[in-house]
Amino acid sequence: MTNSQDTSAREVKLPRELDLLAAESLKETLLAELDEGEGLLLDASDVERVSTPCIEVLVSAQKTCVATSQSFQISNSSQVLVDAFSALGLDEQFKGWRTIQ
Amino acid sequence: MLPAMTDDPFAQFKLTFFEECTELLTDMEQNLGLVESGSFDNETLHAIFRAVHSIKAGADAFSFKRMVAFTHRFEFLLDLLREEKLAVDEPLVDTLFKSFDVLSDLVSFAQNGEEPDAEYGQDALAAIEGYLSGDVGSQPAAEATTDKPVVEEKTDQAVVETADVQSKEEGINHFRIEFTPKEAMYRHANEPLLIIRELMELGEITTTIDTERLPELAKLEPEDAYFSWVFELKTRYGRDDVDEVFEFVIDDCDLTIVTLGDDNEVVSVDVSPGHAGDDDDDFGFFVDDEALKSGVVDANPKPVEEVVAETKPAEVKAPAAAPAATTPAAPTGPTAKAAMPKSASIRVDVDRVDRLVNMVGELVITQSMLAQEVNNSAMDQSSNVTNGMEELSMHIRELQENVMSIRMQPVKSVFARMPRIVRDVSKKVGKKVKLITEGETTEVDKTVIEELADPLTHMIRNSLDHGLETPEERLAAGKGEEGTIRLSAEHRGGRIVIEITDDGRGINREKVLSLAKEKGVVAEDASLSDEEIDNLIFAPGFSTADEVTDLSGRGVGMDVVRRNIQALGGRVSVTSTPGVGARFQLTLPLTLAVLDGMIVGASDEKYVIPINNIIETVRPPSSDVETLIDGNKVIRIRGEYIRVVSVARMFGDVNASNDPSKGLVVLVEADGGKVIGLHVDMLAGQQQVVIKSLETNYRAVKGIASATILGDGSVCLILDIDALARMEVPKIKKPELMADSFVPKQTEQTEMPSAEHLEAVTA
Repeated sequence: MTNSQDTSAREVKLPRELDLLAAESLKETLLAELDEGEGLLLDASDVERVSTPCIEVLVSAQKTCVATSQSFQISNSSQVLVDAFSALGLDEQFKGWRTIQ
Repeated sequence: MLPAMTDDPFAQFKLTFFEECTELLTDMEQNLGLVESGSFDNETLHAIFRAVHSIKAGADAFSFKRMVAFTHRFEFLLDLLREEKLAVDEPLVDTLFKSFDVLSDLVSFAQNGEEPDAEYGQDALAAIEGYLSGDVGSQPAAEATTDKPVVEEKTDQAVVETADVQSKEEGINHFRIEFTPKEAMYRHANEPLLIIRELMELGEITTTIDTERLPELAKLEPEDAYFSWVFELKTRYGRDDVDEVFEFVIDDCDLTIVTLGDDNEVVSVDVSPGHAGDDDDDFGFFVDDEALKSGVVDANPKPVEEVVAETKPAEVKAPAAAPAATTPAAPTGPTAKAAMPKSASIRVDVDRVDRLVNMVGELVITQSMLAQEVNNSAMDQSSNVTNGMEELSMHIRELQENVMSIRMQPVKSVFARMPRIVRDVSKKVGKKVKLITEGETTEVDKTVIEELADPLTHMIRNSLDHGLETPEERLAAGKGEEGTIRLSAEHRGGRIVIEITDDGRGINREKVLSLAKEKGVVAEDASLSDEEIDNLIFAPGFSTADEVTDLSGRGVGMDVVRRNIQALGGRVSVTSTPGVGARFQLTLPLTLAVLDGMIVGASDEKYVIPINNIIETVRPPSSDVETLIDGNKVIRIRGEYIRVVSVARMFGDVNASNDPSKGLVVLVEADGGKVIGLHVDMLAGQQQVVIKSLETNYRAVKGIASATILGDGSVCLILDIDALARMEVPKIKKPELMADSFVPKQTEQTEMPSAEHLEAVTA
């Protein structure tokens, strides 16, 4: 679990709608960030809708971070996102990625 | 909250959802009626439950939270009912009907994009909660079950209770569910989150996720499914309920449901391979799987309002091809689904059908034009062309009939509302009534059905309020305490005949007549036949109730009923036998797309008179023709004077003959039973014509209802008899005859569409 915050990571604001149709662009965005090699710092304050495909993208991104020794953090998670992680059985993992302000 | 329909990428789905709701509610109302009457079985209760469940599923998909919250509780109540844990008694039936009302209203609110008051439906909800908490009505044997374990649903604002399911109690089932979505599951718009939340509603759940299959980001296909889950569920619900959660995704996942015993030993295993089972529940909101998929997948540029909304429709859709995961082992499931007849139907946009109807209409016209050409040419009558034409004509007629029949629907949807009305009204007026409906499967055009509900409701109310006597009066009259209203429909001579018969007191002719005289509906010294008196109740501004009740006297009299029916090209009449009862008869055309018409000639023009309006045609001797001071003519027929309208003059031919004795007079009945004579030159024959809107193609013209195209390609106007009866005959000397009645001020066009114009617009 990559938990240490990489200060040089740029913050990426997650969109309001994380639905099926958003999964592809979310992947592209995160891939581009990962290419920078400075870890992922995601701001989830705006997230109002969540779908499993987008959660998969996030979890996959986290896996990739681990594999490439980058940091992965989600800050300001909206309740919707917290609930979705919880419902899917990702509570424990999520706790490790989450930064609470 | 509800996005404007036009911007809403799910508008189409919503529309379908609401249509489905209407059907479900109709069926539900009928089934509730059965429950009330006591003639129901388990399947009736299941059907009601399924209806609520389907509405809930759809409401959830579109985030109609109030509806979800309410159906959620309603479901619990119905569940208790179908598990026979509640006794069916009057308070329960009342609660069911009340809940039904609330649900119907919530659907309407959602449909109109309105948000009901927070208070709305609370009384019904309170009544439901009363049953759920076991305070009311629970069967003695069933106290353990009224307390359903529920885990909060995130979108659900309903009261949530969490029962102590930890403690080992009787009736707790323990399931292990292995759920592995197939790769394409998300693309089929199925969303595990929704499934998991539904499971959470059933009881206590432990979720273990397997993310092993998930590749690194670069290799991830964002719309593929990689996660899989194992759930352990402790619930009071049975196996069926668990299966139900997965019923929409069964094709898209590998599912193993294991029933565990007290010590977690396996009691039964049920592997449900991902293939379609034979579930007969017809929850299907959507017809077209492909369209749906493409709609969802291709919707990239559209703003997505609701993730959940996007995903759920397909779930809801799936059952058309989907599954009952269950095979035998459902040890605790009390509710094995009884087989429902599978209906192989599809849902089609009415617009499409209308276009088809129009096309076939054009085809009929083209065919008759061709036929005329062939006839006019000196072709051998036995030639292949002539024979071919005959065959073509036959096929086209058949085609037309079949296309028309697509729009036909059973009157059941309207009839099904009536028991409810009878129930409510009879309670209100303290009368005992039995409603018998017959011929509910009689089919009639959709447009007619839509217009039928109001008049029927009013007439049933009228029969209840005025026709039937109170139980005391009935006993005194030597009748049974309970009155009967019979509502029937049948096809007769290409029309639908609907009758409402009651065994009440019949029409009080004396009272009707004196009231009619008092109100100036008939002259003081008029002598009328019994039948004429009976039909006075349809006269405008007539009400026989001693005092205006809030039932019949809502400012809507029987005259409005008659007007509505006549607007549909129908007729309404009443026959009554004092002391025995009254019978109202409605006859309506089966469709509003074609019309049986009499083609008449006046001057050089042809017109169509709807056959329905025609009473008779006469050639009056000149001795029976009288001229009024203003130059208008009346003819005397069997001692009555009838106003004659010269069709040719009415539509602008000042030189046309004004002498009815030189032509023919077609007597037609207009609005309110008013009879006028239409002076024409000749009758050209009777024909079924395809109605073309004049408003759409040209503009509205007073006195003309619509147009049609005859076999020779010429446009022919269909007369609006009601309007003609009200119209002033233009003054003879004035050249701009109809100016004040229908020529728009801003245009200098002649009143009537020119032949060229009509050809242009209809070409």
